[in-house]
Amino acid sequence: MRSDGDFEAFYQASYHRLVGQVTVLTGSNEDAEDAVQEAFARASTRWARLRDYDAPEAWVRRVAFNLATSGLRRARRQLAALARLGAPAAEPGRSTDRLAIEAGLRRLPFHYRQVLVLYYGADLPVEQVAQQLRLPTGTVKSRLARARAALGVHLEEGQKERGHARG
Amino acid sequence: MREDELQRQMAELVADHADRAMPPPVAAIRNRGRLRRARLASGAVLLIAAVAVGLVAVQGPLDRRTTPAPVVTQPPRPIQPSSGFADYVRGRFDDMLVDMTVVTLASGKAGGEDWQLAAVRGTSLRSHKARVCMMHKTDGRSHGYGYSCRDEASNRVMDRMTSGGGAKEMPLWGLVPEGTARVRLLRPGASPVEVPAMEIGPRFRRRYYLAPPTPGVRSLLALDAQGHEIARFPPVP
Repeated sequence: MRSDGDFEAFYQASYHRLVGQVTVLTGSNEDAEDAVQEAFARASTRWARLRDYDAPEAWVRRVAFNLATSGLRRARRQLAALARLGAPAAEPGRSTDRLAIEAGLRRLPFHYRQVLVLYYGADLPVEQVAQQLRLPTGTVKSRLARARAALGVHLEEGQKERGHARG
Repeated sequence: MREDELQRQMAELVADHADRAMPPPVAAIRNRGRLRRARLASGAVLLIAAVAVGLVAVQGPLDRRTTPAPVVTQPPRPIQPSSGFADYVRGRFDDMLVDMTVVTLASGKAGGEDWQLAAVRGTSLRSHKARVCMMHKTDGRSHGYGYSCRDEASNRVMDRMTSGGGAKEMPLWGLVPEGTARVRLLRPGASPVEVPAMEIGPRFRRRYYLAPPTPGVRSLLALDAQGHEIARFPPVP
């Protein structure tokens, strides 16, 4: 049963990485794990074909991203309600920079977060990001530039707010 | 923030979340996949049954000099699409349209693909005109999506037939003008096929058709309740 062993090795090697990427995308670890598990479940039933792909992880990532997108739209209203209750308490051991980046990412539109996660988080070249999102490379480049600019603005605003809070 | 700094922070963020992930045993993942496949298989049986029931052909006269009567058939709509699909569609259009109304229309399984179909009405961010779009998404071999949009004001223009994934086994669908009662699919050398045009929703000034897989279709006619042609694709120049 070499095929089964292949799948298990692939699953063990990619699971953590994909959950990390999808968590940054969705902002929720639970949603990310659910999307990634569902994507792997679908991959398991197609493994005979997927194992011959150059990068089966790209297939699983695309499915997980799509599932996360669907879930995210549903959850957006709940998140808006939660946001009104205030920011979540900082988790111990996480730097202020990290929390600021996470807060900044949460304020970005979803399609900006997608390109940032794939380009910086998954370390994919622009061409592969375009392939993954089925977008022209020019669109990916412009989204990346806009996403960086928007994130910069949010980080600056966050810094000012923290400054005011201290002062 | 400098680009290399952003790169480092994003990579650390991903790694941080990756470390916290708790993968379930691989057997549980496989089991989840098997259960999903079983659910889809039962859906496929329903689809095949529905298409088979709808494919009761009304044969035309055999005389070659007369136009063959269309095969009257029913659209395949055995399963309602998931509510998540509406959210997915809304997400795809949120940088193009505002004031959106999304209606999920149908879904099914064909040619190894799960397909879902929806219609969207909204105001274009670019032209500020009302637009009506039809969007499909397939999961399976192709795992893709596609859409076509029209200005609502150009109601008399008929949409071309679309088939998600391009597979021969996929149904055909498209938007038709508001007064359309039936859509006739014309095939050279074979009997035409007719399907009813259906309502999308109260705010939509268009209707749509959904036909079972029909190979060889080259053109379409939109017919009103009296059987008069009100639009055709390809349009007459």
